[in-house]
Amino acid sequence: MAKSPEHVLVVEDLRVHYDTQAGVIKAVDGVSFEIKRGEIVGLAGESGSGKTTTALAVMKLLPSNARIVSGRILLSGTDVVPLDEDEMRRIRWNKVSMVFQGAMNALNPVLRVGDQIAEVLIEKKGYGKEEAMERVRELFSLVGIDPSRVRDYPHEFSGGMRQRAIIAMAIALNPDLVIADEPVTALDVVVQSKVLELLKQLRDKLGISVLLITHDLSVIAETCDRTAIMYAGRIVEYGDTVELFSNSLHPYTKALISAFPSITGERRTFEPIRGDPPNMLEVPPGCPFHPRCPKRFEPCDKEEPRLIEINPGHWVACHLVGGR
Amino acid sequence: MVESLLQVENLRVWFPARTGILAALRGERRYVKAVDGVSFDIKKKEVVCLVGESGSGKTTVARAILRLIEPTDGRVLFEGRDILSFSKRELREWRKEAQIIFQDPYESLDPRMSIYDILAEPLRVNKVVGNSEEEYERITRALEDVRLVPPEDFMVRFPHELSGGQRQRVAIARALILMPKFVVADEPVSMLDASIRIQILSLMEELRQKYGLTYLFITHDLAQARYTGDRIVVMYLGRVMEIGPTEDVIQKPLHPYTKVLLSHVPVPDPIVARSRQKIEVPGETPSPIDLPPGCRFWPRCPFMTERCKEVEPNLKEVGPGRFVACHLVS
Repeated sequence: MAKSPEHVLVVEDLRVHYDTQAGVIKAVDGVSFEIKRGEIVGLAGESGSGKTTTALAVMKLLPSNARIVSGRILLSGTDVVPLDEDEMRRIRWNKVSMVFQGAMNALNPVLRVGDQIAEVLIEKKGYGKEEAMERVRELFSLVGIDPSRVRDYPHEFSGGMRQRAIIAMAIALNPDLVIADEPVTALDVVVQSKVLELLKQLRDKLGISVLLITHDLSVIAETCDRTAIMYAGRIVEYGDTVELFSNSLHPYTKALISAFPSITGERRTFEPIRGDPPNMLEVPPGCPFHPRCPKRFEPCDKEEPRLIEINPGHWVACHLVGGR
Repeated sequence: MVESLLQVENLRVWFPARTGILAALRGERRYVKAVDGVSFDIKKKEVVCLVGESGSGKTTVARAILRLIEPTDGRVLFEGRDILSFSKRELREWRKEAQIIFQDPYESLDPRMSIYDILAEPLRVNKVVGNSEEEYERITRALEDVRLVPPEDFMVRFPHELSGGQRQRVAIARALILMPKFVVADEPVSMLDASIRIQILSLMEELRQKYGLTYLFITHDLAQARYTGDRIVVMYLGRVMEIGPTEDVIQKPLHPYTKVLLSHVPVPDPIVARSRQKIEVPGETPSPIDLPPGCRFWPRCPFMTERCKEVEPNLKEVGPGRFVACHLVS
């Protein structure tokens, strides 16, 4: 894949393993994708698909029993895989920041929201107190919070406002990339749609890139320019979001999309995906989806399909479309 | 006219709110009016979806109907009998007929009990089986019903050995083992992966048909409600805003709140999602304490009039089976 300077993130053949008592879990097993400047890319999949592990690897915030076995992670051209914790600390917030799932509950309840964001600016950018607060007010209006509320405590904010404050913190140092892990999962529908709208606005205004991690394909459809579908630690399909939904080629992508009910369109019948997601300690040989796949044929349980570019920008890992 | 299995009339559940010392000294009492005058009915063999955001009171309604919490006021008629007037003994008898499935299959099953014991418990507590052979048989059948087969394999396992979807199947088997008529399902698939959700919902529908069950389905997800219920009841801040046949409510919502909500529900189709008009509303759902007078939605309603601030609209029938609580709809 291309590695031009317009890419804020390039992940190449990333493999991350967890050592557990029960054995080695290959949570991310050969993942490659890239994000251009100003692009919102979705990483979608069910629990255990490896989407959060991929994000934590980019941040180098993996738990102690995880290790990056191989691959490269280029953040604005710099490979972060070999960097140590000191070097990473200079990159986090400055080049890449992360909004965690349920982060709105992570604000310190006894500190004013404005002070918590100012602290990041003072510590990382060496701002003076006044200068930092001025920037916090600016950030508040950017994310749609009344700047006069910088002295409020977290409990005085609604859930949606707290999530906006967390996003303000994430963009405080003008990073190239914001990783948002299930940023709207615990929020009510109306708040959810406003927060997603905010992410799109920030992309338009500031040219920020976003890696949006979610299990919810409706959120992907509303927000992402391009999308990668993950299954069992691999990307099984990847491309422009509209193309992926209207012309999905991998049987898992098709099944997953059709598992999401919609309030629009005709009422239809559902085809359940049979079986359970794989046990990551015993990933099936060949294509990991083959035991659940309605279209499996002779090579599927033996040979793992490669991710191939089937149309310009549309990548699929399935024997039905080649990949041997 | 199909008979009602359950009629909820003017149900109220108020919780005392914590107030300051001064207010307490002055004898002022404040309440969180979690459910404040809710009426609807469920016909025999019907699936009704109770839909609302957090703070709408939907879960409180579900629990009050089963008397898992005591209502403040109102009537709940089950086959014509008011369950709020039941004695402890009558209530115990009735519990066999009305069961609940909870959202979190990780918390609702005792981790120290085997699947066999989890399913045997309601049978033993209610003394509905004569001997252990009969018990074994009932449990075998219950596991087969929810497709945990072969049943012998699953009986001896413990909850932590099962996946989330399998645990929810156990919860369904437990709810159905006493052969109830009525089941409340409180967000039964919200914690499950998308591919598993459809499996569980199809299973619930299949068992409903097989045993002639009636469901009250609680969900925050209108898209899921569309594929689950015969009728939808929309709640906001402790009140019913709208009731109607599912497709009518989804295609032609009448209450401004339902319209707002539907316009913001994410759609799993990028072309539709990006061309849809969303109805702008200020703020978020306030807390159900210190509610404004008049309609509860007026502070956020894009169509609000002066009257909405003063008079609380009652639920009125505006078409066959369609009820709306809004001054603007007649």
